[in-house]
Amino acid sequence: MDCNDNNHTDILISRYLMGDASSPEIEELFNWIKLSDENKQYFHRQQDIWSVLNPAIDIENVNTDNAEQKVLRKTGIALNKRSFFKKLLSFWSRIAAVAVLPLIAIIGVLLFRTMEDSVLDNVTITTAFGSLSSTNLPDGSAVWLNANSSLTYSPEMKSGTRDVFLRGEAYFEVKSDAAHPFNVHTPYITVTAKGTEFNVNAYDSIASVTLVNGRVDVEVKEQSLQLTPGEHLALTDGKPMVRDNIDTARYCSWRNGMLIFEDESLLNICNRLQQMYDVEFDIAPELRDRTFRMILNGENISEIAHFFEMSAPVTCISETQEAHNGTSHLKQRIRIMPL
Amino acid sequence: MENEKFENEVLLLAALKLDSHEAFIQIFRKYYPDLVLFASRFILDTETCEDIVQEAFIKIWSNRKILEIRTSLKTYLISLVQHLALNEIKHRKVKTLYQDMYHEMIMALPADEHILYTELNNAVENLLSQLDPEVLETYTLSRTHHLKYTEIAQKLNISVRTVEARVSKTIKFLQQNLKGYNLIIYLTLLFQHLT
Repeated sequence: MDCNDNNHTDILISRYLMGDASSPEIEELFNWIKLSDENKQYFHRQQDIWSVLNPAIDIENVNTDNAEQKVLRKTGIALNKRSFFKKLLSFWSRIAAVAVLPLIAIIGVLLFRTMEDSVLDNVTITTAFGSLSSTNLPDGSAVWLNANSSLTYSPEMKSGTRDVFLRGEAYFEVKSDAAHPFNVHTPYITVTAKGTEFNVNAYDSIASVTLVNGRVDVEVKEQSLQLTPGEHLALTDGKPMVRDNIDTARYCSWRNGMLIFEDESLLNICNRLQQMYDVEFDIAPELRDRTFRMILNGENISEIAHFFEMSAPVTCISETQEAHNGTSHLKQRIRIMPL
Repeated sequence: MENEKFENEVLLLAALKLDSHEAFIQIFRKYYPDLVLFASRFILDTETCEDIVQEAFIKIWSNRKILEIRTSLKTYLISLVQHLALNEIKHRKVKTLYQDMYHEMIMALPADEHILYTELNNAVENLLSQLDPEVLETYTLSRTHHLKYTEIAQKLNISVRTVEARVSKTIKFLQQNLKGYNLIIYLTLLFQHLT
């Protein structure tokens, strides 16, 4: 290739990068790129330089301090109270924005330690349907509690093991402390951690654990299983099944107020929604396996029903009925039928 | 630049292996903004870019004991971000349509051939500071104000010929001193609106 050619190509590449190239020019350029691997490499290098010097984001707008706080807290290097508080604030305002029910109701006082030193009352945090909550435990661990869930713990976790009792779903960021194992007890399984991040789902008949970071031991039916990051354990028909390499965000995004469903069956989606919202679904049998793909971000149940109607030929009929337990509480019931 | 406790990378990485928080923070502060910019070449959403880079650093910390860096810290970080960006795109909704294209874009260059913004920008700035003030002014007017030759000539009350001479002087100077960076296109782009 002589010097002239080279120059011509450079001009073509630059016009292309600036978005000024006409379609014949683009075609010419792409043909030239296809000629050889060297040409391709040359193009990519030039493209690289161009994108380095024309970043999509202004470097001044990257908030390194903020990110540093986040990363330090996630790595367990620093559990900064103030930044946690800030995060909590923004979390609350997000919740307020979707106008859900009042968040936390402290209901229960149980006794759980009678042997040692002073007898302290346990604390129970409960979340209502359609609401989330997050809190700092006495040992410095952070916990996010999903809707319709409750978590019980002793106000002084310092001595011996750290035990919490969960019904429903929670995400834990356990403060590292190898000497004091952190145990999450649920009706079916017990998860033991020393300093990691994981999600536990223990609504009525379901039990699953998703590990984001670190290591946990799961005790289920007298056997002990160890999970590594990216692994998901689910109890199906009483048997533990472990899947690896899963997208942990899908199981944990609820704590940011988001639910992600990727090609999930309508039945699974509705089961998930029933855990978190005060609603019961009645799905026509032929629709149960129909898959949907959606991201919910704080929508209420009627908006979600509308989503179903927009993305598939179905109709949703909402009715209220008395709850099964005979109380005067009215439960919403949605019937999903083919159009 | 802040005071950096570990003046070279070997020391820095050794300290990291020994759980030094300071070493980790130093690495973080040095590379975070550049890596976010790097990720933004493939991922449009700034927040996702930041998340990806934060994830990379969290991985570095949790794997610090078994970290084996054969190339350089920078290359290692870039390939980690490349890898996480690919993963992110795989999990996107639009995955099938653009996956291959993005794959090609992200992996077009090996990690050790990528340049980071600060590095290149510092090199350019440093060279520009060595230019004569009036030559530099011509450059600034074209680069940041996007003026044409004639407009620059008018504004500085000099002839178009002088502007041309200064521009070509700038290009030559940058080209000579930035040889390592393959800057031909950059320079072509920089001044192509002039004519």
